Amino acid sequence: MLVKFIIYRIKMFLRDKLALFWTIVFPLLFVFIFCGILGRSGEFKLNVALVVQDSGSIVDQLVQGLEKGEIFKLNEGLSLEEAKEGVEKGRIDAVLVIPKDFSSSLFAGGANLIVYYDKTRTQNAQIVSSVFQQLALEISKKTLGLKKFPVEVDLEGIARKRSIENASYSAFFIPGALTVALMSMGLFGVGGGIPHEREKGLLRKLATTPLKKLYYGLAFMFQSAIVALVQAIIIIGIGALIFKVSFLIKPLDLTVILIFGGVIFASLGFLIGSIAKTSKAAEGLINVFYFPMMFLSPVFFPASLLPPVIRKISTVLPSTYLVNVLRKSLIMGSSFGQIFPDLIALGIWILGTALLASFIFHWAEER
Amino acid sequence: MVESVIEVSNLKKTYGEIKALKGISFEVKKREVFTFIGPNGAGKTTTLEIIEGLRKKDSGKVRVFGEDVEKGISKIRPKIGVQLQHGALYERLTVKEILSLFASFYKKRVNIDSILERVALKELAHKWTETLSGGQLQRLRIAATLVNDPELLFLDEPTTGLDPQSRRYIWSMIEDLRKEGKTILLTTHYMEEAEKLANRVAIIDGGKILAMGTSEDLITKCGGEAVMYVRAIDKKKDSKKSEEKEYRINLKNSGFEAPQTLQDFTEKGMEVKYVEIKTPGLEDVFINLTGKELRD
Repeated sequence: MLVKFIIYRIKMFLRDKLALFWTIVFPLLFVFIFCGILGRSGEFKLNVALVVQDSGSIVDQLVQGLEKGEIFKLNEGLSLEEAKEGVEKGRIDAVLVIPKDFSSSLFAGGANLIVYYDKTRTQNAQIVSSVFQQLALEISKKTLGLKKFPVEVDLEGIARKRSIENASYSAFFIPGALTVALMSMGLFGVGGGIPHEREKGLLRKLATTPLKKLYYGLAFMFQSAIVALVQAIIIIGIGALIFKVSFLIKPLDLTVILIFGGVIFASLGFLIGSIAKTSKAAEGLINVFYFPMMFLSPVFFPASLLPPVIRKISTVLPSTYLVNVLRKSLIMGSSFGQIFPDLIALGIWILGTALLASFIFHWAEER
Repeated sequence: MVESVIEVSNLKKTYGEIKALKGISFEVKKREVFTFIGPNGAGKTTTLEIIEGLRKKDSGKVRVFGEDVEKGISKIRPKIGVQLQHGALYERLTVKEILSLFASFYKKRVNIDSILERVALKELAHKWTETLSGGQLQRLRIAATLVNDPELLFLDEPTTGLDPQSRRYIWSMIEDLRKEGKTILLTTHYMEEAEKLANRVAIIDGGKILAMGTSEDLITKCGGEAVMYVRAIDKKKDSKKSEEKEYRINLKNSGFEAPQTLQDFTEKGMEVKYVEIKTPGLEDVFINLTGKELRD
């Protein structure tokens, strides 16, 4: 009874172009607009810190060459510690160190150069070292008349400290867009769908069959949870492929979060659909929840940018818990124990809304 | 004695100030097609929806299969099929999917293909319901009531608004269902439909049953007399002035006196040009009982 209803609900969803637009295309538009403008985009330049500990004409020539080349976005004047911290926080892609004894070692027959880089991105280190070697070879041919440039590059990986504050805007925003997508499905799909079915007389027809109210509600919850997984694959996938966001994906944790996320908004939608008798009334009620959840919770911008009053309001909204738990898991790779409290908060929301809806929902209304 | 499937006694219902049902009592026997005739607002749908468990009664008794409707509805639902007067189906499911979905709500199920064949929708099995015509959709709505092989069917104005061909098709479907031994509670405002399909008819108006019985009984009791219309020319008068006149004669003796009446005309020197005898039907029963025409 339930399985077939869920399958048909998903079929109906997939056949409804408008529903697909609001739940998948619309959040993706957000991704393209926000990540496109505020995220890193356009020409690809590595952000490289240059730390020079040596001096001399050969060193000067190398630095000038790097400056002229404009292959990297070059940061100069940082101390080694500052530069390494930059890599840890993800602000700098690599650090190029010209050590103290560089010139002297060079003339003695072999010098060493050190490149620090984000451990997860070996390709950055390779780009930096090969660009440097290319440049150095040109200089040594011209000025020293050497055919080879006797420099070895030491690559030192640095573990990046992941935190939401240090994440790129795209990495920050994509969990927000996913939250909006789940909200649209639950509020518009379920909250708008029930009054639509009521107006069309479908609920009265269902009421004459042995179908239980509980199953009618559960079909919506399952549908939303399954659709949430699809929405996540598409939105996170586009984030990774187009906006080059590297998320830490723990499939099991993420699935649990998405099920909670799909179900909370479906449950809230079910409550709205039980209260609102007509599509028009539902529309008003949906907006009462939809826009505050979108703008009062840290979907688009971090909570620290929100005014204190709004920050307080946002701490009760389910959208806040969902977007936070998604960020914790996807950006920081938090353990299940760390995301558990957020899941509890979402669980309380689910229980509360579902319980209330089960009292309010009726198949047929007395006229 | 034939078992009663539906027993309703002194059923009352008010909507605010309006008394929709003012004490309705009737029984529907097993294998019977019982038909409610009445204008819009007479109380037909309210009565049906109370029996179906969709509305709460104010007072009175309503039992289906011997179960009180308000307490035992969960025992009743698996055994009934309900076609509501209004109401769409999921528009983005196919004809076959709709039937399969509704069938999934029941433990006892009928083969979907056999239903599709019986309602002549096999060709359209894979079309979305939003593409169906009015007649096709109505056939599907009736088909959806058959998925659980119900013992009792509620058909609320199944042919209202349909073209004559679709209407006749649905009549033949209902006749077949009756032959199979289904009990059917039908409402209509088409007299022809009631006369053709019903074993018994209840005439309802203003929340009351005005008369109940087989159509023949009702017509004999309340239909009034047959009427003979005769058009004739008076031959005795000056032939230039003579013209055809119409005469209306009430036949008190069920029409047996018609030949004698015609003979009277000839004997009086009149040339009969046209004769028509109209026997009363349910329409006349209705007009006599309510003082108004049914068609609205």
